[in-house]
Formats: sequence, C-alpha cells, structure tokens
Amino acid sequence: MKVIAVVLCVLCQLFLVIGQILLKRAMTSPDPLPWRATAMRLLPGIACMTAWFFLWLGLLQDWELSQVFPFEGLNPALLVLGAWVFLKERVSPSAWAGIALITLGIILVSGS
Amino acid sequence: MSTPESFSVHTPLGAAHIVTRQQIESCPAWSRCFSGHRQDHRYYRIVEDTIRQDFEYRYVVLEDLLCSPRAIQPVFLVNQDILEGSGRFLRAMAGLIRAVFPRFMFIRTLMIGCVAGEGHLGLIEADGGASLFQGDSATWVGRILGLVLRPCAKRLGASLVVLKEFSHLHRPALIPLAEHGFTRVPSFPMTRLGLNYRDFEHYMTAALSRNARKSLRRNLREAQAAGPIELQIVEDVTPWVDEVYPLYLQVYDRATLRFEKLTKEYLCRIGREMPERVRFFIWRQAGRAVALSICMIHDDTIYDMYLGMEYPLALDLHLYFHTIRDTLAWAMARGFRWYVSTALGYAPKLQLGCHLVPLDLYVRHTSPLFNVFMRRMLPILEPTRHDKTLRAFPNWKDLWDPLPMKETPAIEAVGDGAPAALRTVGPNSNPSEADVGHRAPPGADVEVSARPGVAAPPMGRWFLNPYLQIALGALLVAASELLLKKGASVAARWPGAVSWTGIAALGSIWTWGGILTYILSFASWLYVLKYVPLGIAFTLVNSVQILVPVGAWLFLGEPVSPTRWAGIALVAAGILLLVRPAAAAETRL
Repeated sequence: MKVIAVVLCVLCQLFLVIGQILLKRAMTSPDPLPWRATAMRLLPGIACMTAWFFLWLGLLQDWELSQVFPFEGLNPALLVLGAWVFLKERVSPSAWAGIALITLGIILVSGS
Repeated sequence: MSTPESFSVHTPLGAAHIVTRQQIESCPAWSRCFSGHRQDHRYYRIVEDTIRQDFEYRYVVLEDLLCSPRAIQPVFLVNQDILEGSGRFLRAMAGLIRAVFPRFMFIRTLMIGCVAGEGHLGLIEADGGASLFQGDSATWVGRILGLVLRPCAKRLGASLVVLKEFSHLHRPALIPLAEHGFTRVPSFPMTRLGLNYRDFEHYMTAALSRNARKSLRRNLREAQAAGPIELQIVEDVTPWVDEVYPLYLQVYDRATLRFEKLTKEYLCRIGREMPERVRFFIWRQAGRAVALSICMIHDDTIYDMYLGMEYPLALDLHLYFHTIRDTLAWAMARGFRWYVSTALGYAPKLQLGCHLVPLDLYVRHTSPLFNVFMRRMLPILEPTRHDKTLRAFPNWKDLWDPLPMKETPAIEAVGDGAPAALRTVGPNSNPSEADVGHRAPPGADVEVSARPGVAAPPMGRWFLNPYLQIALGALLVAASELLLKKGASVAARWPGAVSWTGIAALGSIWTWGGILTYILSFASWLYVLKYVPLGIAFTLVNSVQILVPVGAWLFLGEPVSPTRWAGIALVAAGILLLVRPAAAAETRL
C-alpha cells in the first residue's frame, strides 16, 4: 500500500510539472494567435493541472499531510529541472542561487 | 429561435416597419435613399448578397404619422464580441473563461448601419409636395430611432443595440438618442487628406516636414530597388480576382480587429454593378500581384476602403507607401480634392499629414439594469482608447466632442457642386502653412509602423508588470482558498446538506466567490507565464507560503521557531536575488 502511495505522489508531482510546462509552452507562441487558438493550446496543460488537483486531493484524504509533504517540497526542484530540459530556460547564476535559497527555505519552514 | 422577418412598432412620432430585402426592393423610395452617398442602395444589396458570415439583414422603414416613409435604415443582427478591441489583458482573461463558456461576453446585437462601411441616416428626400417636415427631418429620424430601436431589438431577440460607425456629421441629429439610454463612444475613425496639389512632388514639398519627407523618400526608394512595380487600375476585377483576393486575405488575417470579411463575389460585384464608383488598384512586381487597393470614388473624394498585400514582401519593401503614392498621384491628376481612408494603420497616415474623420458608435443594452452598467463600462471598453497613435493626431479630441467638427471653408472653393450634407470638411483641411506644425515629432520613424491593419501594441501600465502579477496571483490563490473554506463551512451548517459530496457548498455565495477568485488567479498566472521563465515564476509563487507563519506571528502572536526563522530568511534572500535582476533573466522573451 505504501508503495502505491509513493507512486501516486510521484505521478501527482509529474502531472503538476508537465501541466505547468505545457501551459508555459501554450502561452509563449512565437507570434500572436487569436484567443481561440491559444485556448486550444492551453487545454492539455489544464487537463494535467486538473489531474494533479484531484490526485493531490485524494492523497491528502488518505494520508497524513506530513507523509506526503516531502513530495510537495520536491516539485519546485522538479519544475526548475523540467523547465531547463524541456523549455531550454537559461537563467542567470544568481537566479539559480535565488531558486535554491527559496526552495531550501520552504523546506525548512514547512518541515519544522 | 428563428428571427421574425417583418413586424411594425408604433410610436407617437410615427411607425417603424422591419422588413426584408425582398420587401424593401419593392419600395420606390429605397433607391433614392442613399443616392447622395458613395454607398447607395446597390452597395447594400451587394453586401447583403455577398457578405453572409452570421449576419441577418433587415431594413427599418420609418414612417411619419401621415404614413409616408421618411427614412430607411439598413440594419443587421450579429453575435458581437463586446471585448473586441479592448486591451490584450482583458481579452486574454476572457479567452480563458470562453474555453469553458464559449458565449461569454458575446451578445446578440442589432446593428444599424452598413456591414462594410460607415453609417448614415437614410433620409428619403421629399419630392416636391411633402416638404412639411423637411426642416428637421434628420432630427425627427434621431428621435424616432430612439423610440423604436429598443422594442425592435427585443422582437428580434437582440439584447444590444449599436448604431455602427455613424459619421460625426449626424451628431446633432442623433442627440435625442442620449435621452433614450444610448451612449456615444468613438469607433476607429477614418482619416482624410486634402489633395489640392499639382502632383505628388508638390504635396511632399508643401505638406510634409523635412524629416517626414526624407523618411518617405527613403521608403519609396526601397520599394523601387527590388525591381519596377507596375500599376493597373480596373473597374471590374473579375478576371483577376483569384490573383488579388489572397492579398486581401493576408491583410485580413493579420488584423487584430476585424468585423466583415469580404468575399470574392463582393469584389467582383461592386465593380460590375457600380462601375462609375469603384476602382481597383493592382500593383505587380515581375508579373506577380503584390498589392491591392479597393477604392471608391464619389464627388470630389477618393475612398481607400480595403487593402491587400503580399505580406512578407510588403514589409521589406515598404510597399504601403508605394501604394499610397500611386493612389494619391492618380487622384491628384484627376482633380479629386480629398483622400479618405478607412480605419487602422494610423501611424503612416499620421506621417502623411492626414486628419481624423470621427465615426461614432451609439450603444445601449435593452435591459435598463444592464444599460446602467454598460454606460459606465463603455468608455473603458471602447477601442480607440488603446491606440496611442490616434492621440498624436491634431484633431484627436474631435472623437469625443459633442458636436461635429467646426467647418472651415475649403481652399479656393472650386465648384462646390456636391450636396452640403456630404461635405466632410474638417479643421485644417487646408494643407498649407497652418498645418505644417502638426506633423509627427521629428525622428518618429515611418517604417516602424508600416503595417496597415495591425492595431497598436497594448498599453504598458504598471498593473501589467508580470512580477506584480505573481504577487497578485498568489494573493488571489490564498483568498480563494479562504473563500472556499468559508463556503464549505457555511454549507456544512445547513440542515440536511449532503456534505460528503461537497456539492452542497455550491449553494453558498462564498464558494462562488472562491471559484471566481481562483479563475482570476489562473488568468493572472497564464499572463505571468507569457513573460517570466517558468522556473523563476513557480519558485516565486511558492515562496508566498512563508507569509503564513509570518502572518501568524504578526497578527496572532504565534511563536515562530528558530528553524522557521532561518527558512524565512532564506526565502527572503532568494526572492531578492530573483527579482532584482529580473529584467536580465527574461531571456527568452
């Protein structure tokens, strides 16, 4: 049972990361599109975010917050990694440092 | 629901009969109705036949108490997007909501006027005897329109009434509309240029500032450099329509603001059926059509109505200026005195010394309640507000003035044969010395804006700063969570509520507030994504979590452990690092 929960947690975070990447991709087309086209491009991202939302809700119902929370802490790291790999986002070294500090800070605050 | 084809509305001033094309064409007065205008009854017939889209066409015959028809107004029904032309941010938000509710902010609208052209009062000129009311015929039409339009719209199933792009000359006649709940806002104006010059060279030296002239000459040279461009002018475009129609489509597809979409049949028929009024200008380079201009000529004015361009090429070659030069030269050589061109693409027209010719929209909602709201919103939603170029025109204020622009005598007043009502004489139409000071500021470059049909970029207000939007979005998420929680707890207290489904919470206004706030936060987040790298935006939005312990410490006096303080400090330092060089980090966009 525990294994299933871990798998679900990871799946859940993956939905979030993929959803956000899809949304970002939809919002940054090289040339301006009519809203209808933009809305269509947003749909897969919105679908992922919906899947994430319900999975997360389900997990919170079945498990203690403290048990699933470490996975929540994972997602900024996963997301930054995903953005780096899939969106080829190149941010400055100081921005990397900022991202690292905030992530660490959030883990400290929520873990204590 | 099918729209009633014809019916009548009776008022103390007279009656309005809504009829169809078949019925109106049997009315002898109809062919006289717009005879003084460039777009006469033939034009309305062609438009109704060839521009279908989802328009439903009708005609309103206005009869006085003696049952004689005094005016005929063409009208049509359309599902209008009321956010058309408003800022990009508003439209993006609406786009999101429409992904779920496709009809959001679309309103079935009764429009009075012409689908493809400006609106006029369709006065029927009295023939001899019936001149009883002649003096204030136009005002009578304004008053009866105010009375009948709302009931007509209701019968036709429309909830919005719009007088579309009425010439500013009708402002005095249409004043009574205000008493009937109509609000006047500017539509995108036409522009006009006086043509009292010997030729184009004379115009350039007499009317343009040194900078504008230099810039124009450079643009024209660049157009020529790629090879000679030949001009062909025809009345009937039918043999070439397959060649030139795609040019029109290219311009149409690029326009951010559009309404009517011309068809091939339209192009063919206006030339065939109104040969004395219509001219097609076709430009070719190396045998291939690269630009098209659809013009009408009437009295002493040439109207540049629609444009077509081979786009990638047009931008490289500054083709637009080439077409303008040829059109103006042609018109000057034939003694036309005014060049009027339709809306948009204002920047080059400003450089060329054009003035604005205001067009007005008169709008009301059929529900008095919504109409109150609408009156407040319209000045914010109206489209010209966001066009910065428009404000640079010397007579920009005329768009809002209560009455038509003051008439100044036209230069030299040669043979003023046209009916006085048609004169659209504006201030400073004299392109001589008084005018030279109004040119665009020196250094403003013509080529940047050489994109006719494309609206100006959205306004850059502080509110649209993406980093502010991150903060706002985070606050909205927090607010929506609070509201949803409140909604759920209220619902839980209701007797017999089926609490475990969560559906009961939908009965609470708090829940709906929470949902709305959540949608807003999502819209804000999408906007942020457009401008900020995902990694940075996501980290920042998450960092808001630290507000909770800090808030609890500040307001509730809850103690904060040293580890928490350390975490908070780290987050704060991280935010500083991220936001400070933010501009540099926006690498990709």
